Amino acid sequence: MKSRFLFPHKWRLVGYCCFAATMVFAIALKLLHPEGYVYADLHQVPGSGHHLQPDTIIDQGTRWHNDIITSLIILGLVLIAFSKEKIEDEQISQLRLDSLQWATYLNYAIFFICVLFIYGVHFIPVLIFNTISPLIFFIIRFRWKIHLLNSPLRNEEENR
Amino acid sequence: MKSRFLFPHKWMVPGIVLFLTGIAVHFINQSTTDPAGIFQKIHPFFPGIDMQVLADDVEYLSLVIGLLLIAFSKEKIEDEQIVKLRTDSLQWAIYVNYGIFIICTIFINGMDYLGVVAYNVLTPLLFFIIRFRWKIYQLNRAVVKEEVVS
Repeated sequence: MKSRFLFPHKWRLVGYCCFAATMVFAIALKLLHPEGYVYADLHQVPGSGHHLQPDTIIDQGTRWHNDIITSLIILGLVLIAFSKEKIEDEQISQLRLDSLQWATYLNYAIFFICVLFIYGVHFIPVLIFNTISPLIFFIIRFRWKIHLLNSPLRNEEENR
Repeated sequence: MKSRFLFPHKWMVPGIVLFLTGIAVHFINQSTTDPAGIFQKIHPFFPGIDMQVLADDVEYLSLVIGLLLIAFSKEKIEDEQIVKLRTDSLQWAIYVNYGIFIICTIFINGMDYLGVVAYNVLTPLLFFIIRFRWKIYQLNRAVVKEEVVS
């Protein structure tokens, strides 16, 4: 059983760099505009009166950095998630498949709960977060399982 | 190499039924100006519930549960090859999905982008189902050809 469609092992580093860059950018944005940069932009629109006009809000928020940040974070997470391990064997492939399915299930389960309990404008952040959450769940579970596999305690217990 | 976390084969039928229900509710929601107008305004059992919100919930949930069941029901025969196809297709679907999503992020802005984000919830499952089914179809056709030749 061979793993296909995977990136070389070294590319994971690139992934981490992309992810770190996005995080730094997000934190910087948060420090510069604590109340949310979309609303900060809205204040600068002459005569906007801070009305909640959907088009204005979204358009003001949509700048070049939005595109770049979305692309970068997805690229980073995909590279982290789907880079080859140093040793790709049967067990790692099995873990990968399991984790991918598990992440999909968990993601949709959380999505159900959000659909039931969150309405209206507040649902938009749920949708946005939903684009990257499967990858995050996958990475966490895959890493955790590999950690368990590698931990010497576990190996000793199995040998007895 | 075993498949884990899969639903029984039979559950694919309720999956398809739920998916069709979801699509029907979606079109009802889209085609009426007052989306909940076709239903009763007030819920018969829970008078406090807004029917619009309920219709949206039914649409989302039946679509997502239906697609999940279709995607992750066991095949009649789950062997090594099917498991391999499943892994490949799942990864492939995620790649295609994020590829399209990045292109949409760059070229679609404003309110239209919300639609992209909303559809993005379902598209990985759709791509997975299409590719998985297509590969199984190819596999079966190859097997039939071999039998005819021999």
